[in-house]
Amino acid sequence: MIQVKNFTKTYNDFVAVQNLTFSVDPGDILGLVGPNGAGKTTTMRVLSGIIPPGSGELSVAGHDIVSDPIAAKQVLGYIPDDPRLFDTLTVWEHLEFIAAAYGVTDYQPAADALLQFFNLDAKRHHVVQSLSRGMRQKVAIACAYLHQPEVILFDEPLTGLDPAGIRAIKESMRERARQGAAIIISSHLLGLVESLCTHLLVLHQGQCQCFGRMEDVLRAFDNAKDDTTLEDVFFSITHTDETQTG
Amino acid sequence: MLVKLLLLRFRGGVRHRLQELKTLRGLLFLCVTIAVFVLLMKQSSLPGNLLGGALQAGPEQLREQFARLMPAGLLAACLLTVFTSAGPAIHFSPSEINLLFSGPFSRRALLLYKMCFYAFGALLSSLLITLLVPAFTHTLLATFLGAFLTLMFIQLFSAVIGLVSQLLLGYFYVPVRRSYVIILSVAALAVLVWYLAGMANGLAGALALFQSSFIGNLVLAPFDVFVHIFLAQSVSPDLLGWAALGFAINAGLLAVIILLDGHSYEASVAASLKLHKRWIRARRSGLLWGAQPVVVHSFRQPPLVSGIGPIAWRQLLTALRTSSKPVLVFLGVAMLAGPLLVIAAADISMWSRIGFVFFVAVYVLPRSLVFDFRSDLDGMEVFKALPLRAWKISAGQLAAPVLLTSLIELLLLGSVAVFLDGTPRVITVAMISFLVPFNMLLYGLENLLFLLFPTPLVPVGRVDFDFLGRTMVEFMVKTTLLISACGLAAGAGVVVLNAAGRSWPAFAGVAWTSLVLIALLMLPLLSWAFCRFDISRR
Repeated sequence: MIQVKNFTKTYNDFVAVQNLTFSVDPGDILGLVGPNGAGKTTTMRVLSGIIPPGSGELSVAGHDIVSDPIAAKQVLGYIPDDPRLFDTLTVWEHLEFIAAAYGVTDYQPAADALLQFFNLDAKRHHVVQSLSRGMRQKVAIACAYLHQPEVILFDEPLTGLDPAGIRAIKESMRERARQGAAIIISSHLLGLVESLCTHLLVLHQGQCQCFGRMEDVLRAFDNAKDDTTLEDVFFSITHTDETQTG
Repeated sequence: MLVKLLLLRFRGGVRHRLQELKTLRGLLFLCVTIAVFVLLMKQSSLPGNLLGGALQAGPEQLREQFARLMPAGLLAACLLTVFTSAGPAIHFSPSEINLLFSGPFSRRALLLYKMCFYAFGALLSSLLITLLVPAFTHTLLATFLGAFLTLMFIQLFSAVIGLVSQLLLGYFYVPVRRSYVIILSVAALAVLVWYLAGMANGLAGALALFQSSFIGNLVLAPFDVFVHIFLAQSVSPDLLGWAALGFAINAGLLAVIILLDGHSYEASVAASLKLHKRWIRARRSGLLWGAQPVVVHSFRQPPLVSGIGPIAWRQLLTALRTSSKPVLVFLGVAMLAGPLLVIAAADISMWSRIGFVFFVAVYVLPRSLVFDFRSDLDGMEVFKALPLRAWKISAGQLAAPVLLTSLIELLLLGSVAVFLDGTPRVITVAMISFLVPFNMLLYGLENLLFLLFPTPLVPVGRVDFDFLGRTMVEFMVKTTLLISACGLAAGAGVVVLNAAGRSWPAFAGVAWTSLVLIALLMLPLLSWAFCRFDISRR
């Protein structure tokens, strides 16, 4: 569903991502972790067609993101780390706008269901500017779900959410994966990634440090410990590298 | 410690400017800005030129007019600053509130720090004024000191009035909106001016009557001091004496601010944060006067129009929700243009009218009706992720401002045609047919420049030299491109005019078609600029 092969992105002399290769199949949830500046957001933005890749092959649901970007975007939902909503539109108008832009017909029942699910029904006529950070995040996610995307990219999805919101969104991610969507979650919340993701990719200084099934990665770093956590793996990878470079 | 912070911020500001000069855009802005200032300085060296044809007089007459008009003008400037400043008396940024308010600094130290900050801005502005004002003062030093102390006086005076208002509102609950107070005050002032003008045969007489009265003398006395600084004939004792008095007035106002500020500490912090949010919103959206509705009626079913519809629909909603009042004001003024011109026509030359209309159409309206890419700097990520071709997004973005501007100009032309005798109807109709392609070209250029050089459209704070420079450069570039494009369209028309035996309909038809083609060319250019726009480099 998501195929990334030898992807490299540079900004002038700075290499943000170097020679990255991975794939995500339908129903899989990939956790994308790494320290600040590792290249996670760059990878997500390139996959969603927001910025062009430097080199490499990236495809979404079989559509090349460079040569066939419109078809790729049609089946993709992207939720950025800071929900970029239109300040002057209401919650409902956001859903109307997305439905029109993605050509979704008969969207009202699905939109109503999403508002119910995210507890936004009472706020449907509120201009999003007046909403809290967490509610804006829920609106962004509802918009991303409306056109039933086959690929969903979450960049720090739980920022600003209350416990009920966190539970609802985690459940919705699992549900979407069960329905066959390929999902990537970029997050610093290692507990979330460990509990939710089926696969893991650790990025550090733009390079892939490890990629594979979550159990396999944890097992690979299981140094005579039975209860190795993702946090142990993360620090093992990133701290070692920092020591080497330092 | 705060002095160190001031120095660090100054150093950071200089470093930022120098880094900007390393870019092509920075260099371009610098060159054009220097060119503009040299032109203005050259013009200002001719007495009276900057003050318009009515004041084509020698330095002595200008000094006399300056001495007569400046105190009342200064009073008006102070009142205007008070009425138009919705923010706190002394504004602190969120970073200053977070880092300094919780630090080991007294409130007095913070106020002095902020005043030093304002003084630095006033120093730069004074330098600019010294270079540009007409040569009717006796020395450059007098101009510089006069400008500096006057700017500080306006700042401090408005702060004192603001603090007194906050203090009074803290003691007495006044259930009246600020806008009503302003309207009532302006109405009272208008009645007073009308009464005095009736007594003294005109506005000039009314001003003289006010200045010669006891109350007028009393009210204008502090303002007179600053006029004397500008017009001081010798450095000592004239300039030094009057400057010392001006400095003492400012110091007195500062003392009052320090005394009063303790009573409005919390209100000041809240107002500072509110103002900062407004500035941030204005920087993002380009809408300085944008309203903030909370609950509204949701509109349904945006038109599709092959993907262009939703984008245009959203921008029209933005116009409706945030700027309906300014748009209505523009529409109203456009409708009244005819009657107003009938009243004022005797005194205004044709070229002045054309220049004014050009300035309004090419600068005021595009800077006021910002419902396109320019108000979507933060939303570019969303547009980039939409499954729509770049040209459709570009066309959708242009639709709202082009339609609104064309409507305003249509009303203006209609009003002029109806009320101004002798306006040929055929020319009016021809001009109306050019409105949409011209505005599409105009907003296409605005957006193209913005996408290539994305910068905020509103100044932040009281002194924003970056904004001033950018605005001048952009206006000149835009004007050059617009005139070139219109010239090209007219040139094509002239060719046909000559070939078709002086057929004016053929001229208009070819010129119109050419302008439409040039305007349509903006779509691929905008699409290219939109695709090229890299949000990760912002």
